[in-house]
Amino acid sequence: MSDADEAERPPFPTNALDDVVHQRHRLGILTIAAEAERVEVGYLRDALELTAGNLSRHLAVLEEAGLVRTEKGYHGRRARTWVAITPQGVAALDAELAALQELVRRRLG
Amino acid sequence: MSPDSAVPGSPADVLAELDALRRRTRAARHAHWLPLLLFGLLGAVALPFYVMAETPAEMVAPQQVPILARLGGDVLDDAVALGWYWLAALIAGYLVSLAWYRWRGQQVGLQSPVRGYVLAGLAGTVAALTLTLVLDVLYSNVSGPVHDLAVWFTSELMAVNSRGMFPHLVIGVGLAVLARLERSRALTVTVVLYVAVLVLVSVAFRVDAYAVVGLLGRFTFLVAALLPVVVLLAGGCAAALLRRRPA
Repeated sequence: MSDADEAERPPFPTNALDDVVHQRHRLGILTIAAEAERVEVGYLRDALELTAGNLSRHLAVLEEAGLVRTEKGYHGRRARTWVAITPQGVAALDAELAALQELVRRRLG
Repeated sequence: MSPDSAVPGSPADVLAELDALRRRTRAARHAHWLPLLLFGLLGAVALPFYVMAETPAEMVAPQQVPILARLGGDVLDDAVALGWYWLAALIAGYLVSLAWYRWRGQQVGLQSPVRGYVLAGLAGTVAALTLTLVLDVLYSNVSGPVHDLAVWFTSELMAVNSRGMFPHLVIGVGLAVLARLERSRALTVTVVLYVAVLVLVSVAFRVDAYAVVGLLGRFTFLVAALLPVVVLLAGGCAAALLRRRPA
């Protein structure tokens, strides 16, 4: 294959996969957060069947990458932590889903 | 699998898993049964205002109605009372809906983005009030050089407003925005049905100061207002029952 052919060839979809997002639980967090204005940590823990420590670790990774933001609040006397997806998070999730769909399309095609 | 391991399974499996997660989340945050029942009940309470003391004449003389009460139309016997009622009911309905979604968000742990719905409803209420004034001005100014379509559209809207049906349009707009925000097919179907019934009753029971089409009787306007209410109540009951069904 010539260099010109190589340059014209579209990048393989796996190149679009982001290591921060391409992780089962973090994808789950972003998917749920994208469906709501904000989601409470307890809901994420139950929906994804994670321990509090494990979830906290994934949230820290996503927050550090600017894909989610967390807010502390109170419901009555109970302290609660809410998670909201950022515009960068929405874009990263969309890119990940598009890459996965492209992989499926190539496998079927 | 370690916490940081990449996604296992084929891309198709991952997409299927995320799709299932998305559907479960959507189902968990759907709470439109309450706004449907609430606006259905508010519409039901308004029904007595739509009954005429006697069969209206074919040409109905419009009443003078205060600006803020114009949502009640101008041909009903109780147009002014109906107008005040709908103004209060629409504002209360949207504020109660907002409180409901906020409360439910706290309970479930998923907060829905419903500000757009409440804003659409309140802005729709103001827009409907403004439209009643604009229509008056338009109707007396469009008959000459303006296109027939503009005259027809203006007079049709005036006919809908004259029977106190603008509040139903405001409810329809709000629910359409809510269906979009909730990404709910069931609510979308209910809204389409509701709007279809609104159009149907507007055609079948059209009567105003300028033209008469359709049936006329003491309860004509009541029937026209009742049918959309039935759609809201039925849609609300169905949504409430379905949410109790195990997934």
